Amino acid sequence: MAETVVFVVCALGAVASGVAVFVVDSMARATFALLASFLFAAVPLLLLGLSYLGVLVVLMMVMEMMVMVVFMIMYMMNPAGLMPMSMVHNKAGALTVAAVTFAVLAAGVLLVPWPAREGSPPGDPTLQLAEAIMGPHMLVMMLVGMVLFATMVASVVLSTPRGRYDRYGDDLRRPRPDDPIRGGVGR
Amino acid sequence: MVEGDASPLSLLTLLVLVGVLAYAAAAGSALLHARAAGTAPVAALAVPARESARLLVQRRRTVPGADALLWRLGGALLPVAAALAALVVPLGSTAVSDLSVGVVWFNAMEVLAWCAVWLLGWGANSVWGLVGGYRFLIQGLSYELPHMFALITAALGAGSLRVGDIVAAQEGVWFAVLMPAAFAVYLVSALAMAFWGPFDAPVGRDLAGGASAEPTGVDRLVLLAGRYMLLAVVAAMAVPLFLGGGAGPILPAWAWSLFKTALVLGLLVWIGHRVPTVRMDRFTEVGWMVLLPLSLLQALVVSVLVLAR
Amino acid sequence: MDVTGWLLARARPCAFVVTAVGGTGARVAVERELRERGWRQAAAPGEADLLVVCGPEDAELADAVERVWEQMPGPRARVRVAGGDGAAPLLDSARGHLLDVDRQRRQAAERDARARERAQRSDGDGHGNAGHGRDESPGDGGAQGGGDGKSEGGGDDHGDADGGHGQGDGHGNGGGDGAGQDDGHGHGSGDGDSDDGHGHGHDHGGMSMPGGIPMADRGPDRDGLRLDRLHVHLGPALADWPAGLRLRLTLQGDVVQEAEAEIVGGTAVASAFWDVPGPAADLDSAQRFLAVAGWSAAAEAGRRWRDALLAEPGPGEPTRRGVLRWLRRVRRSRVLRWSTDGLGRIGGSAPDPLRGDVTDRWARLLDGVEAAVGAPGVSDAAGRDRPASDSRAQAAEAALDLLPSLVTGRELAAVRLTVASLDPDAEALRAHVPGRSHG
Repeated sequence: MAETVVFVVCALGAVASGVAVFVVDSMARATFALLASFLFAAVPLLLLGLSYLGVLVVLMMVMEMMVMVVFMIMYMMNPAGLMPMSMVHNKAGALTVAAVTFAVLAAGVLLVPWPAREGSPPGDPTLQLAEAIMGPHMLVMMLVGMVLFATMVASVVLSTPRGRYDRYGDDLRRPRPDDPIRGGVGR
Repeated sequence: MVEGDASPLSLLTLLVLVGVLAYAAAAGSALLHARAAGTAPVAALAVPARESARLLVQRRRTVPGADALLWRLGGALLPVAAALAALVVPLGSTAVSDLSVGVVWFNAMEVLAWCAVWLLGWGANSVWGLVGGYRFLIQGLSYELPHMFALITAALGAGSLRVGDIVAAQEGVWFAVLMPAAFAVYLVSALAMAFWGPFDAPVGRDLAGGASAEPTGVDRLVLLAGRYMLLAVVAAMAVPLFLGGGAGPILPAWAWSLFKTALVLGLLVWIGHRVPTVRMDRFTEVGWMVLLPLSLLQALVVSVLVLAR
Repeated sequence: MDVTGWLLARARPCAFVVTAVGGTGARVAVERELRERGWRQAAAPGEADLLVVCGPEDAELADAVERVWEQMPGPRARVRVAGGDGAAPLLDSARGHLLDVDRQRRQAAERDARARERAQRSDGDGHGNAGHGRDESPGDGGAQGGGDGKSEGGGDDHGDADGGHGQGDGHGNGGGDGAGQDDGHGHGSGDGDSDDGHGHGHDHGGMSMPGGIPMADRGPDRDGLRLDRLHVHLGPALADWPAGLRLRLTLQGDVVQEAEAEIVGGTAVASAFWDVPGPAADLDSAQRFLAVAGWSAAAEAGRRWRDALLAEPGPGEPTRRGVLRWLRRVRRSRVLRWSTDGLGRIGGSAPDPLRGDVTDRWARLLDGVEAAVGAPGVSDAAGRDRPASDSRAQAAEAALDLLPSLVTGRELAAVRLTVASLDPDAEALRAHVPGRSHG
């Protein structure tokens, strides 16, 4: 019973704060409404007994949204950012896509013949879930992880206007790099 | 350290303990300050109470253009985050809730401080607050990865994310001895997390108080209380992670836990008075070039040890 | 039982100290009183309940003081300490006002009434909030419209901009990207360079902005982006800040794009407090620097020894030992050195006390103190070759000229450290270089 109540509250909360993202007229509020939506979505994971995944969602979403905040608001110096601004573009298209997606997913939930539980749940559902998803593909997954990481590093390197020749001179012989702001390791 | 050998710690006891430790941290800080000023140190013990009295009668302030909702939310979030993080910290052998993923829970809750400080700074619609809030974010990006690896290393040593298991794994040798680099990184990140001591740039005096420049009255009281609570909780978490939890001769386990917590907290408060503020454009490089590789190496060493055992 | 009165009586006062040019003597006396009573010095007006203005009446500073006063939430009291004598009774009487609950209540009610009245008036003129900020901006070049909006208790009027502590304001003057100032280009993320952006969606012109605060304009930053800019004034009413100095900054994030330095007030000042020979002047600069560097314990101890040195010109043995111990501790701090190395480097023809980087300058201050108190009995001799206020005036003038170029491209923390390490003595400047154009 309690679980049902918590689930309903979180489900409604997630949808409501998701809607709020597009209703509020401030970047900061939209960001935190989105965060609230993610946090509401993490609770059902906890209800499923996937405590690791649930808590991890909380952790990662908070950090991710705070990094988002940096990028979304970095370019705006009006503190409090209340310069009212709409959070929607292409209203009709977006509404259509959202409604259709929601309908498809909801139909899936209602129409798929979900199997009844057989036996008892495993002791560590997170482990079971992970093995079910990636057990035979662990090597692939790790490789994909490395590729993603390399892509991130490469894109940062490519987007930095100053390269090592700017920092260490044309023959790379400068003992200390020539940086506009000095770092802390004494290089 | 068998689970369930004692009734779980009640929530009320936990909050009272965190409150007492937070008050002690504030009083200790005032005491160090009074010593530096050359005035009577005894009077310093009452300073947090007198400051609270002042803030209780001070009027709340509204700032034009402030995002009041986010602003007040930020202030309130700080003590809430500290209290939630404290749920998994064991006193002796009992915690309010010894979750199977206690370490991750602790980590997730203290990260809420990022939100809190940024909201405080942003919402106040003040240059100082804004800069302070962003300083805390860059601080977070510098300390968080090494901090996470320090936590993971302790969990790795025990082979479990449950705080109770980590305590149990230290029956032979404390993790502070087994993984000194992780312990040191944890202490540094504890200071940074509570924006205390050398990492108080987000609320620094050079920013007229930064993220804490605008809140007044009760808002300010909640903010300050939350900060000291966070400091107390991260100090308390060092005990089960690295200092053997309640292990120790003669005294009962809870007494050892409290004693060790008080020691760590005292150390953190003292460091805060001994070291000037570290500027973030200097520390960021240290975080990424020194602390991160250090904590990774430490994790590697511990994994090899665990495999060899 | 009157809980408010009971709490107030137990509260530890917290004072925001504003120093006018010519008020150094008063400031030193006030700081000594505050330290001995264990009262805190506020970093911002918002946390304070006592406003202490040190030095003579000064029309130029009055504006800033008034804004600070408006930003204090209350219960609050203010006091002017004109000279070094009599700080204690003045502080006592201010405390008395603070404890007078009836009077505080009455004043708070008056403030609220004023605020309501003002709110109604600005509601009357069509654009809800255009009244704020516009009407009240003191009109120096639009540089204080808002963005900062410090206000105070119960929603009184909004005491903005420069006085209090460097507020931003962001006056919308076009930003140079063709967006113009009045089309409200969504927080700078809108039209112009940032693709399809979030620019659209607000159909109002630049008028209806939150709190009536004009939007920031934009300009190129050091990484080749176009970012919003804020116009912020540091000083003259700022904690741990040289008396009378005002830095007008244009900020992007916390990075300074443009800077201008000037001296506010003090035109009638004829003599400088630090004509007093001895190491106390250096110690005073050093303690302020340490406070800015975030080492409050060392700063507090520095004030203690400064007061001791002022009280006994030929320092006794305990004072000497205390000062030397303090010097050792500060010098030994690797973190402080690491934090300030390479900042604000000055070379070339600058006066000696300014040369080098921030670390060199604070080390020189400490050397000065040590030379004066180092060996027993030499303090008088050393006192004579300390820079008298004439050379302090020259150093201050050079520092004011150099400041804008030193702080441009730096972030706020570096700016504060650089200013604190230069610590231009406006009093000496006013006393010795009356024709100074600044201010």
